[in-house]
Amino acid sequence: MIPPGYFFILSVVLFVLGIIAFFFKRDLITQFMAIEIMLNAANLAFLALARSSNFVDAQVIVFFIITVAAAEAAIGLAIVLLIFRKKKTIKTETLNSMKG
Amino acid sequence: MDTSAYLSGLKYLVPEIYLLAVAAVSMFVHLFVKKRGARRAGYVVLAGLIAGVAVLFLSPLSPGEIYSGSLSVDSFALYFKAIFLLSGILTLVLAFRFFGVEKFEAGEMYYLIPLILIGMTAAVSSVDLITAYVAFELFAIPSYVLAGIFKKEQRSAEAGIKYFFLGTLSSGIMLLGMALVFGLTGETNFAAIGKALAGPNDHIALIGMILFFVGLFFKAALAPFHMWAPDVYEGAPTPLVVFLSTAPKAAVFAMLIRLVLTVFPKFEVQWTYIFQIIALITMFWGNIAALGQTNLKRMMAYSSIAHAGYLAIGLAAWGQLANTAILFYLVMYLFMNAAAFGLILLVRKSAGFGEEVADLGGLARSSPLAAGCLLVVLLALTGIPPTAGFMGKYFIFAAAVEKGLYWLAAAGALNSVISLFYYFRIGRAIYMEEPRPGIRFEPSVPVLAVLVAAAAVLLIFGIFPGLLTSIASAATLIK
Repeated sequence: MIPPGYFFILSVVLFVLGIIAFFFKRDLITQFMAIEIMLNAANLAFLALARSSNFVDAQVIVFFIITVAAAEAAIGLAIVLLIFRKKKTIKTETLNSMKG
Repeated sequence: MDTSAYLSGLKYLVPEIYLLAVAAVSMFVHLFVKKRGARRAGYVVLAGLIAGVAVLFLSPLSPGEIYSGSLSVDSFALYFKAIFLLSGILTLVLAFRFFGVEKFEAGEMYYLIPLILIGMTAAVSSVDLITAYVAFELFAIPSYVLAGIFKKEQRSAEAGIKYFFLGTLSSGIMLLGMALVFGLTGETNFAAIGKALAGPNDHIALIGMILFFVGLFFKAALAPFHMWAPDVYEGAPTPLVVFLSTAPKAAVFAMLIRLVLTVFPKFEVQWTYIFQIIALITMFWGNIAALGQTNLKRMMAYSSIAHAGYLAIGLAAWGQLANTAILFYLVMYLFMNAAAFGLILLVRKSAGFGEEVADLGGLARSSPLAAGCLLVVLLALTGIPPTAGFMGKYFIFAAAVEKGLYWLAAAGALNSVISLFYYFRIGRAIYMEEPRPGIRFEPSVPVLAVLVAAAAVLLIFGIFPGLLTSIASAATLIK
């Protein structure tokens, strides 16, 4: 069996990858995927840490997080769609009407 | 826990249930009333929130933690709930004016406010990781919609997307912090986690705490996690900025106070340092960046960041006095911000509202009442007596001095001096400059009412701060 510690390391790696992708990608949908990866990395961290010490609550928390992430996805995609309707593009460098 | 215990616990959730009912009624009004349904939905919400203040104070406080240690409806939570309701009321009054002028009435906006308020009221009374997270998202997710709701304006859509991305990023970081804290202890109740963490020193728990705080700092726009705030406050519809810049900040400070008191008392040395550094960076960043702004909304956005920095001093100087000061300052901050952003709704340009500082030229001549109220507000923002802005800062700096943080208090005082320069520019435009061509002032009744209320509150509590500090010190968690 793979020890739960490895899963925890995987979750941290995923999380860091998500953060890197979020800051270096120039496309709203890809950035959105980066955020989803981060949320799921946190989910995995919950499960891995709970598995190593048999905390049942973690599975409940993960259910809540999945639900919240779905709500976030709905709102986020709606706002991306709004941007696309206004600008006909979802490149982040076009979001520059405010400066200072 | 059996069913009857759940049912009897419901009486402590009356404010939340009430707000849900207000939102539902307003939604139906918006859907089914043919003539001006959106505006009427707004009136329903405003009436509901004003009556909600009474509901709030009539509903009982829980004797301790309820629902298996997930909520604690104490006087601390009650104090913050009152702040949220006030923030919602001021926002709605200004919103009627804004959306009336812009001829864009989004009815959804009106019932999103009570829905956000439910999230906030739950967040300030939650004493459990899961409840805190869900409540946090419950007010965060609709507020992204609020920032982007003004679909006519491209800047609003940009504000919405920036708020959404940085907001979800912050909740992701917070979640990882929660995972670490939970994974080490296996507890979700705050006090139980605090007890379980009290063992030997643990670096993982410290990292968890820092990640948890970073998520909250994002939401409260504390530097260096404030980058989204100027853009969001500039792009979002002005009345909603009053809401977005006050209520979530108050909710986050309430959560931070609960967290450091119950979950992380063990790391007191570490988080005291964190708050000191954050307060220092936030004050200087906010005030210095505000100096160069010509857009009034953006200037006030940086000013509100700087004020969050003053509040963070209160966390760094942890203690009963500092907590009272935070609670006092948050109320004053609400009224100062409502007036500062409400000011923009006085100025009409050919297309929409005048947002430049120079657009305010000649306001003193065309509307002396508004100009007089704004003078009080500007004095309060700078922190000059006899206004409550001075008393608020005085309490916070006094708390810092009491803890031996002389340098932090001195930095705060220095920042008040820096802020004088840009607040003075607004005052000079109002009182000394000539009106710009193409600008007219329309001091409508709702906007004037907010300005007068803000000025009155700031003067009354500036002269008699004891009226509020006695309530605030009774509401603090540290006795």
